[in-house]
Amino acid sequence: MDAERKPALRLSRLIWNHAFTGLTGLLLMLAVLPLFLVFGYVIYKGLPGLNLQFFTLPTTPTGIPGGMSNAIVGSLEIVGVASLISIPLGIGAGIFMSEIRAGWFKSFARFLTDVLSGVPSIVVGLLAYAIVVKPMGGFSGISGSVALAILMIPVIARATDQALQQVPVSIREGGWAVGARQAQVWLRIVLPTAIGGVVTGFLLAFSRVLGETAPLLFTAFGNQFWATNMMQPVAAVPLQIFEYALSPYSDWQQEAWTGSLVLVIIALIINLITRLWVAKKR
Amino acid sequence: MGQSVTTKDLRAWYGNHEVLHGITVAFDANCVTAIIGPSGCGKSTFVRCLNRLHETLPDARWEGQIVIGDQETRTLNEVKVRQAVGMVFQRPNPFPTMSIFDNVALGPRLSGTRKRKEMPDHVEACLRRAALWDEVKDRLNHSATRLSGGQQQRLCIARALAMEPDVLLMDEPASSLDPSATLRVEELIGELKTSYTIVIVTHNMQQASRIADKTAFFLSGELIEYDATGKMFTQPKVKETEDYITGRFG
Repeated sequence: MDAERKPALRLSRLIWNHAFTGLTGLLLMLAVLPLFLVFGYVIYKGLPGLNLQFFTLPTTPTGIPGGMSNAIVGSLEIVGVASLISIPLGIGAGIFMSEIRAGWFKSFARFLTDVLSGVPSIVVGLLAYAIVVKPMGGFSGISGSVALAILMIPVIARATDQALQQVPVSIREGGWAVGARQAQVWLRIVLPTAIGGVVTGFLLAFSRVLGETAPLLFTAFGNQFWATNMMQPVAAVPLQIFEYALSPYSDWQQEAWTGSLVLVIIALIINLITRLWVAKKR
Repeated sequence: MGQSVTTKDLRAWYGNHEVLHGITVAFDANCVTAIIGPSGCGKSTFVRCLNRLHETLPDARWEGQIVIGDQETRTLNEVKVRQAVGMVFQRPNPFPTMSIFDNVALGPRLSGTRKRKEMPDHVEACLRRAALWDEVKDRLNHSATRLSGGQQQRLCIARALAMEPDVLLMDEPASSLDPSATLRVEELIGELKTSYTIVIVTHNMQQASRIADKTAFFLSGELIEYDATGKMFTQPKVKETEDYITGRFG
């Protein structure tokens, strides 16, 4: 290539380079814009109601100062019990999908997990109604936990499966070579090595179900009062938002916005914690 | 310590592909036996059959007799076999989430062969035997991954020794190490053979002649020749052996 042609070529490449960089930047902003709009609007509407009594006072009839403390505690209880159910089952399923040699059944299990994670949450709620609420004869926090656990299990299982797949075979062989039994290799060696991915999966599942409303509509059902008994209907933040948002009362509507803001903030915090955890692990 | 290793008509497959075609050989106790041969000749597969690691791969199987001491490995639980036949791999593979101490202690802890009180002394003894104690004695609770490659490999040797095996298998243990680390590992092997039977796979013939009492030459899944190392390298009986040793192929 002769020297005279080089500068022109370089300039046109520069122009194209900048043009495409600018274009992709613009597209990025367009993609992120709705996120910022949503955040911005929720903050704008919810912030006025964000005060200490939101977290300390329970729900009250319209006109009387109140908050969502019972719903917050209820949500934490329901999701807490759901975690207790879903963590062992999800990790167990993940270990099975990653470690057991079962040929076609393994791919079938993975397929089922993916399908289950796509089932609409209201359908899961109906399932929990049929298998827990009806036999129990009433709504309860525990039925809500079962519904949420069903939603959490595929996420945890998939994350565990993928995290375990990342652990090199040489680590497992090192375990077998010192005479460790299969379960010992999984639980003492491989799972601890993969724990970063497993915890990330759990945090994602946790963060998702914290905001789920539909499955709780006919399981936990909601409760105006302090409800710590899981065998009875229990309040939850998304349920409360649902009730308040549909109401004609402006103070309840304000509470609904503030509740939404709190959920968004919690999701943000969990996301940040997950990222920091993963970064620290590396 | 140190048992003999005998195989009789050992065959091994990956799926339908037969890679070992009936190996019959006997390794003496408390000896270092080197297994040499070109890439793909089945030396690693052979050694992995000895501690029943071969069958952990999907679609892998083996047939024939493997006798350690006086027990046929097929009749035993594979976990028991692996507790008696230790292995050091080509690339060091310390357990990444565990400390140096826990890496060595894990095997005896899981099998229950050592009590909790004895563990610190036992770990120290193993690290001393692996010529690693002086370098790590002040940082036993540090992560094993912070050690250098050569140190990690000696840690893996200490880990294998912690199970007090009868046989120690080493699959090209120094191939990922620099020359000075390699020399240390070779010195170590010389010291260890008084207490263990050592089978070492190597593609480095100079290494075999330095450390092995006897050498077995494998080619395309068959045992071609097996003799005292000195004799094999100076007066090979089979033409293929001579070709390989003199570098005509491999």
